[in-house]
Amino acid sequence: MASSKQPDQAANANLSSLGDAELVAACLSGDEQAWMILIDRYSPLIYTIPLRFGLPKVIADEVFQETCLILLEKLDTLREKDQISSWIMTVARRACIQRWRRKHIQTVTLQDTDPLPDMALEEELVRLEQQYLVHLALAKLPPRCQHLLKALFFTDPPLSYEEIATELSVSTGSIGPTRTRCLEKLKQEMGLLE
Amino acid sequence: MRHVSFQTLVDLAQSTLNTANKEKAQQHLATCQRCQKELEELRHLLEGLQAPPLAAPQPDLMKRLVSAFRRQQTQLAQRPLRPATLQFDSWTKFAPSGVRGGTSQEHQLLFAASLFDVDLQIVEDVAAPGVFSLRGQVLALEAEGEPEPDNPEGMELRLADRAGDERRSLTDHLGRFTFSRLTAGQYTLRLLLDDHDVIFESLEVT
Repeated sequence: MASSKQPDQAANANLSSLGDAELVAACLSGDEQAWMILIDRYSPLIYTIPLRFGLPKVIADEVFQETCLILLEKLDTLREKDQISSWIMTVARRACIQRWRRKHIQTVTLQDTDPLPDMALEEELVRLEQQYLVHLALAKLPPRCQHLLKALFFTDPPLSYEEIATELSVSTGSIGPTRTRCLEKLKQEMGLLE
Repeated sequence: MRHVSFQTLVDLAQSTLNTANKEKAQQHLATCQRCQKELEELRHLLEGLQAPPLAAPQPDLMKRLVSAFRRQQTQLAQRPLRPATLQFDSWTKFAPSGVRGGTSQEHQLLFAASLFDVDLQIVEDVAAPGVFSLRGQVLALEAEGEPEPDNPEGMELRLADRAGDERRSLTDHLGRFTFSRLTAGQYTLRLLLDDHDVIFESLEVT
């Protein structure tokens, strides 16, 4: 007899493979699972932005919460967006700047003494978003490609082809070509995202 | 002109090409914009793969957001506003004698808001004078003989300053919420319930 978990897992797997626009549509039709998957998809990115701004964890929690609440309210406006990462970054950034500026207020002059975050931080955030999109694209590849690419690039120090072949139970000679095919798939997936 | 194969580009980016092939590839790249662009895109891809994983927020935050989603499904889109009633103010506790109650750094307010009481505390940041936090708790009214009140988790609150800048927060499983890093001034707090909003006007953060 099928366990009650299995239908959920199958449904979740289907939802996870949806693009942002379709996931947003599912949320708007009241699908709670879709909402969980949507915030799950972007929560590390949203959460990291305040940390990069140098805000403490407690404030990062607030920024995360606020960003998600605004997302919840504005879901309707995001129906047409293939990818909501830029929108999310804008909202999170704004929330961070609101809180970042208030770090050092002089009670006497009641003036903001902190300048705006500088260009280096802006560039870092752009890079962060791009790197995260690669991470999302990777999660959409077949499991074997994910394992291979993670083994090849994720480990430090990098594993040799022999070590990887042993780990994945494939021949050493197949690693090179499979690597290329998996990267091509990743590139395609990124092309779909951008 | 034969372009550089994707396989070769990968080897080039990974520095696993032998010298002869490497020189051949670089020669082509020197004049081919298309391949240069492909190599650049590939580099970004590899950079993304090598980036360390990002920290994720704690599960209880996610739980609250699911509660908020559920509430939104039953909330009316247009909700009338009802004012909250001030029941207690620690700064006017000893009003007759003109002495402020409570500590100078903490201002406590208690409001009645239809089915709830809302307890607010305005606290100045000890480490950063002039910067405040507003902490609160939404308390469901319990009546004897009545069933346990609903879980106050995932209720949304919006705090707006005079300029209209708005912050949002959510109640946790105990109905608590926080707004940090506030400057002194007058604020309006709104609690979003299913069929109406409760408004707390003219909150002085000072």
